[in-house]
Amino acid sequence: MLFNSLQFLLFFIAVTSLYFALPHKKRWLLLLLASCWFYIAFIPVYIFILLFTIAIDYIAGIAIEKNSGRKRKMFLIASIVANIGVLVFFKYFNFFSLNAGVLLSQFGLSNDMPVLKIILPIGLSFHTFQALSYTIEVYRGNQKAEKHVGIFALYVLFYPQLVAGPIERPQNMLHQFREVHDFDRQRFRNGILMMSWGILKKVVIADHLALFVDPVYLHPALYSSSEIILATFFFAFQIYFDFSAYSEIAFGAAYLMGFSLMENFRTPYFSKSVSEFWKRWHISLSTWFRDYLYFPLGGNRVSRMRVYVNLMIVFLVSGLWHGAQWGFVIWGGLHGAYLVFAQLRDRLFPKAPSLPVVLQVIIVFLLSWFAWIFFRAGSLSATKSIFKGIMQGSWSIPHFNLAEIIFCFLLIVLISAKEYYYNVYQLTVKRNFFPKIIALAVLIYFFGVFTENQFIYFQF
Amino acid sequence: MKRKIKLYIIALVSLGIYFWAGSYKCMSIFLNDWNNEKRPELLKLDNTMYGDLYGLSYLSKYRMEGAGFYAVPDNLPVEKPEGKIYIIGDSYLAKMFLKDTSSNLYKTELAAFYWFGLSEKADPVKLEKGKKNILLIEMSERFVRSRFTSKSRVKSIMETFSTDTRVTKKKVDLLEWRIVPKNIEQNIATLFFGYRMFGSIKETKADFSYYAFNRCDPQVYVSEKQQRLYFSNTIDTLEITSAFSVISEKEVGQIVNNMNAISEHYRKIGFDEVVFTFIPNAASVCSPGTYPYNKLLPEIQSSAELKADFINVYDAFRTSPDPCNLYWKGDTHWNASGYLIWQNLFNEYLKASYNPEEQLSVFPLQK
Repeated sequence: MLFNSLQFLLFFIAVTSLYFALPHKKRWLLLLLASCWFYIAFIPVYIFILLFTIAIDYIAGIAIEKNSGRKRKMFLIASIVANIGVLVFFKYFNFFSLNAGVLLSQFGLSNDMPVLKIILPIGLSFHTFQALSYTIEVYRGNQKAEKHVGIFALYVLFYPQLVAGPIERPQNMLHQFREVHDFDRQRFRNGILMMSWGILKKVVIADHLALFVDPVYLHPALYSSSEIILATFFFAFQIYFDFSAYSEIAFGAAYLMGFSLMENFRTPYFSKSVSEFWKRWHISLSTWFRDYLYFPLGGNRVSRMRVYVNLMIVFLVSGLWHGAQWGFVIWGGLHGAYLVFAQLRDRLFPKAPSLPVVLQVIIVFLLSWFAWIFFRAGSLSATKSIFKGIMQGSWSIPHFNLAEIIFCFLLIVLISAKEYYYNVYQLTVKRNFFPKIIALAVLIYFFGVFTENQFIYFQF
Repeated sequence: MKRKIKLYIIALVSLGIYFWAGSYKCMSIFLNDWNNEKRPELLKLDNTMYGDLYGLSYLSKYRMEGAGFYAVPDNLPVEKPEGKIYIIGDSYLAKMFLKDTSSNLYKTELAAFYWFGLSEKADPVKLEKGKKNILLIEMSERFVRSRFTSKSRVKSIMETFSTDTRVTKKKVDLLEWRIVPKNIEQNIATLFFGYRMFGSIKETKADFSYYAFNRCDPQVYVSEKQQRLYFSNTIDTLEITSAFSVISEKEVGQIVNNMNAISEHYRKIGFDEVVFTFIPNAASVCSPGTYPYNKLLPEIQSSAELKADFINVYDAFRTSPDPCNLYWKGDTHWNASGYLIWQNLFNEYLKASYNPEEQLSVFPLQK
């Protein structure tokens, strides 16, 4: 069930109405059942994977809290192994198997490795990480183990952020499920406005840009160099508008029921450095890696060289988290390398004059734009085709419509400017609620692209 | 309390629409042509009434107005039926036969029509002794390759009509609701916005996208001179449904062998005649693109292996004075002129079948 679908609209109206109609004691059950329904609407059988990890982590949480010493650690490891095991099996088995096959064939050994014919469960990486953060926080003593299995299941399954985040922390979410949320008109209106804004970004911009990007990346050989460059430029914005739109719809849907999810994006393309970019892009994931991988590796409190190695490890794993393809790994590796390079530069030339802000923003954008090529292409062969296409040196745009290109540029500029000046997460509507919503609905209808495009991050 | 009741009502209505849209049976009632005709003008569904391709694209230029969209004049005197026809077909013939134009067939009356792709199984048929029982298998050209090269699909064609009356019809759930309902998104869109009263709004959006950005619904292809619409999958060279995707001799051989096998099967279970007819894609006849036609239909027709009866509509269409005008400009289907050509060919076939001693030069039967 996609957020930009009529199916979701009906689901959302039904669930939200029932939420405020039911007494507080029964709300968790409603949200849990609704979340299961939301997930089942994609591929029903995969709900069992979620239920499996929920059962493991629920038991592990209580066991970690009750025990001490080695036993405590053992339960944490069991939880990590179970969660990562599911992730590896569904997401990385074929990747490792195929690459092992290639490696073996280099040594003249049999490369007949098994390949699984399975579809990746939607949002697997997101809910696995969210579940993991619970057991880790219980182990660290920052969170009490949740005794109510329904509430715990809801923490993992909560429908607004189930399939594409934000990846929440138990300290932020679990207590919210016990709080009484009365209907608040202002909150409700803000939530609706936020959701409408998210839908506008998804169907008016992101899906419009996809009309350029998707065919080019499917058959790059058919397009000119300038068309490939333009498509890649558009992809940088497509993925931002697509993913931030999802986060905003999720935020809005939860907010109007009284829940507060974490902020996931903060105009990342206005960053002046790559490290700033990562404080503003997919914040819930970057902070997850910081707290559960970078810090345990030693963070900044180790030797300089070790810091660089840690950074590379974190970003390579982050790339792999996105998908079992070399393109994602290279994308992560590039960002790691950018950060290492920036730290080296600061260390070697501490007094170097800084560039004008506009130039810094442009450089950071260009660096991220370059890395997106690998991310979007996915495989090494596809990446090669894209670079080959760019290098061919043909500069016409025979397949694109100039008016549409200008239209897309205008949209990018207008929406980016709006987001720069007004923080989307603080949108409030005190007056003219209905005219604003109607205006957004009209814009969405007339300029929207309704092709049932999934959100890009659903695949992760 | 009042507010709670309101909230429950809102939730119930939303869930009601959701479940209605997810139910095949409920949507069938809603989408039914006959029910549509009884509605007030503004509440009529507009997805097919002005042409199915128009209904996908909503490009105003291709809206086809007027009643009697598929009306075909009776051009034969009514004769006493000597035979019964059983049809496994699709919308090309369904639109004609299910509107009672079967009297246009030479000495033959309709006994049963099974629409391809319906989930409900056909009832077993009881063939009448002393009458000629004819099975007609009709489909649009775009489905031929997928249906005659897949074992399971060939099997399902063979199992459509059974003459064993002990076989009971497979029961279908009353609501046919699935956990993941098929087409639910389109169904909800139809329930909310599928009405004629929204037509001008949909056209404004579609025309803006087309004239400003040269974009329309991806399922629709606008001809180069903007004279008509085509189904994109009959144009796209990467699709098996396309008139321009390459087809191998081996594949043609497979199609022909399966046609023979189906024909043999139905003759074995009691049908006197089994005849195939494939309605050409508009794109095959008009050749709008720069790619050459893959000649699927002529290849089948000229195959030395073909033993089944086959009505060659393609040649008749290609040799007509204005082939493109045998199809509607905003619809995938043929118009009355196209249908009449087919009907004449089929009646020639029937005549030849009832009067085997007469030499009919017009109709070259494949035997």
